[in-house]
This record gives sequence, structure tokens and C-alpha cells, in this order.
Amino acid sequence: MPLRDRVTSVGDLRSWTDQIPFRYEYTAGVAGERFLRGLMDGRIVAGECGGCGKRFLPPKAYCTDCFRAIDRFDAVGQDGIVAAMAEAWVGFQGERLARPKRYVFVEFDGVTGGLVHFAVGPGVRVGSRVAPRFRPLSKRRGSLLDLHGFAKK
Amino acid sequence: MKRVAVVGAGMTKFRRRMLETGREMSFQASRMALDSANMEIKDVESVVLGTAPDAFDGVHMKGEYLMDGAGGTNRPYSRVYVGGGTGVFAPVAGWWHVASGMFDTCLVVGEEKMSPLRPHPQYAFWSIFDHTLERPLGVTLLWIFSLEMRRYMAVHKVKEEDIALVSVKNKGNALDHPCAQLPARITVDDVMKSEPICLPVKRLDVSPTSDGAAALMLVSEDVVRKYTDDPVWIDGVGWNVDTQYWTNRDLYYPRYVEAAARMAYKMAKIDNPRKQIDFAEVYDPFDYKELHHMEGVLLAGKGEAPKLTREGVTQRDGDLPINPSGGLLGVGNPIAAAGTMKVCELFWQLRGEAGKRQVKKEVNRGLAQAWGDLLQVGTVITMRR
Ligand SMILES: [Zn+2]
Repeated sequence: MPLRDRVTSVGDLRSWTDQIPFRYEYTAGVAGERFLRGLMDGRIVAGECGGCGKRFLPPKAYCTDCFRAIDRFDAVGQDGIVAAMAEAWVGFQGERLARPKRYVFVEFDGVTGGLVHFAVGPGVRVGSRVAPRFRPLSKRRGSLLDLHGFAKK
Repeated sequence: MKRVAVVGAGMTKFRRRMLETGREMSFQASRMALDSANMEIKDVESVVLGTAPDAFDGVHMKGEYLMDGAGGTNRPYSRVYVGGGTGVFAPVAGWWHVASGMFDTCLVVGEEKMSPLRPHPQYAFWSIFDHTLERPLGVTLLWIFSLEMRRYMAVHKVKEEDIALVSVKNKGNALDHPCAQLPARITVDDVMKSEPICLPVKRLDVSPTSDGAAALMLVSEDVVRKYTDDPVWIDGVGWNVDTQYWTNRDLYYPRYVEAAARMAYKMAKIDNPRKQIDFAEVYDPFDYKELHHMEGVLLAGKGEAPKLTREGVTQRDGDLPINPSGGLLGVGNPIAAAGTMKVCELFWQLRGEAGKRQVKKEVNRGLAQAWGDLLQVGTVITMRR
């Protein structure tokens, strides 16, 4: 019996609300720790495979190609190129946004993968050369949001 | 059907809380299994990963999330899941990948990272109960296990002190395991006086929550000689799932575990398990569960397991060593990884590579078993030289 056919108010049923109250405390992991500490220092850190030489961003602790452990982590060059872009006009709760959130996917020279983040300031387009904009040193907490995003060079 | 051999095994340390992500732990165990099999990732034709509820790691689609670390990228990859039984079910699934003739090689990985969940991993278990009949009571899994433990004690007139002997043995065995989380030299008295959690279950009757991963390399008889002269064969697999209405069966005996064992025994042509199985790694998240499961897999008669334990038969130097690894009580219990660890232990014991944990008598066949869902699944593997 679909509820709608016979029952005009759900309150007429023996129903109740409940929730599954999960909370989490995550660790970034071995490679993630290097990445977040890099952001605190104002650097974007990639991992380099000693087996095949491939550089990964975000860094991984292992190479997905040759399956060797990765223990070399170095900063990428500061400039990246915007490979893709999106503008969100609807927020997480379904609300209309007065100003869109602009997301970019940024690639770096010689690096496999890239970083998804916000576009900062005007003029950012696909193909733009961009540079990271970090929060002030005193406000960095070892989070992805230590980075404001990427601005046009 | 192709015969399936295990040619490599690996595992991480089991710990309360690891810095490593689930992916990174999966990688460490997988890399170790490959290295021990003299294999490279290019030799891996298929990958099976076992991991328990997404709620632990706090990542939905955990199978997809973990696959990079398990070597699953761009391979025929799947995740299998039967609650706590997953750790032995994953190698069973790996077995059918190879036995079917579909693949010559399969990497099998068990992973669990329970530490992120706050305030305690038991929260994940709370959500598996029926929202109408059970959750309003504020139940935890400990509550249901305590009912089961006391039912077992009541039917067979078993004393708590006899059950405590299992915890003493397994935590003692774990002293020789380099990956163990809770190895300890304790006494029955320590167990009896430990903190009551949900009586009759006390702190030292129960395994810890853990982070960890374990992995196995499976290959077909067609290629096994490329990798080793000393293969260990999977000769029986079985699994069985009972109804989730756990109130509709007598809790004193896990009939679904018996059904799973009988399935494996039929395949392995085992008609007298007590004679034909030299040692076993049965699932021991609680001390009474080891006894329950020894009876379920027919290595002891109903109500006989406490007596065998009391007489020392199940010690590492006994006639039927049970959980020589140290089990979940001693090594730790990262759910799916813990079950896979048991299959790793069969491999190491049967190859004579278990070091200080090596059982005293000569062993040619071992059994690993896991259990889970809502007291409803049994998964079994038998392996031989
Ligand atoms: Zn590589």
C-alpha cells in the first residue's frame, strides 16, 4: 500500500525519525601528510616514483603504474595550466548562490594528475597560466584550504 | 576446474590507529605478498578486495576508494563483503576467479581502518540492527554476543574460567607475532577481573578494534611452477549465510558455520576433520567464539571445545593447535584484514615459515574460518601442502 493512496498524514502512522550519528577523525596518510605540510610551507608537493620516474599529484605513497613504494616528495613548479573549469550556481543545500563558486582543475608540467581547487580573481579560463594563492602563514592549518585557489598569472 | 595455489602472503602491523590510509595499508600488504611470490604487478591478472562496512573508514564506495592501493587499477577488480566473514570470503572469491579458468593469477587483499569512526567503531555496528525492534533498545554488538556467550555457557554448562583460557592462550601466542597489537602474558584471573563490558563479556574476553591490511597471491596450477617450487594448495572452500532473524535459531551453535565447513570438506574430500586437519585458525573476536567455531567446523563435538582447551590440545604444541597466530584476540581485529591474516597464517605454517609461531608437529593441512554479518555467516577455507 503506497502511503499516498490511503494515508493523508504521515503522522497517522507509527513512524519516527532517527539518525545514524557517525563522526570521523581522518588521517591524511603518509603521502597526504607530506602534501598538507607542503601547503603549510606554501608549496605544492608531488610524489616521484623511484621505479619509473612518474610524478604524481596529489602525491601517493605508491606508484599506480609499477606498484613501487614512493618515498620522494618534491614541490612542483609554481605555475600550472587550467585544464578544466566549472561554475556552481547552486549550493550544497540546493540554495541559489549570489556569486558562483568557480572550480578549476590545474595541471603542472611533468606531473601526472593535478589539483582541483577554486579559481581566484578575474580572467581565469581553460588554458590560463595560473599560480597558487595561499592564505597568510599565520592562518594555515595543514588543510587543503590553506590554499585559496589559483589566480591568473 | 583448475587447482589453485597460494604462492605469496603479506600483512601490515595491526594497530589501534595507523597514520597510513586504507589505500596505503592495502599497498603495503599487497607489495609484500607480491615480493614473497617473486611477482610484479604486471603478473596480476585480477584483483579481489574484501573490506567491511564503509562506515568504518568513513568513505562510501570504499571498494573503489581502496582499489589503487590493492593494485586494482585497470584490472578486473571487485570488492566482496559478508560482514566479519569477509576476510576469508575474499580468498574464496579469489579462488573462484582462478579455479574457473578465467584468470591464472589473482591478488587478494583484506583491509580495514576502523580508527576514524567517533566516538567508537561500535557505532557502525549499531546501524546494522533493525530500526523497529532492536535499535530503540540502544544495542551494541557486544550485547548480542553476550547473549550468545551465555546461551552457549548455559546449554553446555561451561564456566567463564574455561572460556578465559582461550584469551590467555591467544594473547600468549601473539607474543611471537611481529605484527601483533595486543600480545600479552595474562592469567585466567586477569580475564575474570577485567572490566565488565556487557556481562558475561569482560574487557579481556574481546578483541580490540584495529587498523590493518593483509594480502595473498593466488595462481593456477598451469603457471604455479613459474613462481615457486613450494606451493600451498587451496583444496576446499565453503560459505553459508543464515537468516538475519538471529532470534530464529538457537544461539548455542553456529549451524551456518557447520554448513560452510561441510561444503569445504566435501570439496576437499575430508570425511574426518579431526584426523585430517592438523591445525586451524578459527574466528576469535571473542574468546568463547573460538570454542563455538571449533564445534561449528566439527573439530570438536558440541560442548567439547572447552575440555580440549583445558587439556592443552589447542596449544601451539598440542595435538590440534588452534589460532597459533595469536588470533584476533592477540594479533588484532581489523575486520576483513583479520580474516585474511588467518589465511596468511595457514600459508606461513604450511610452508614452515611461521618462525617462532611454527606449530610443533608436522602440518600438512590447515583450516581458516571467519564469521560475521548479524551472527549469520560462516566462511571456510582448507589448504594443504
Ligand atoms: Zn612507478
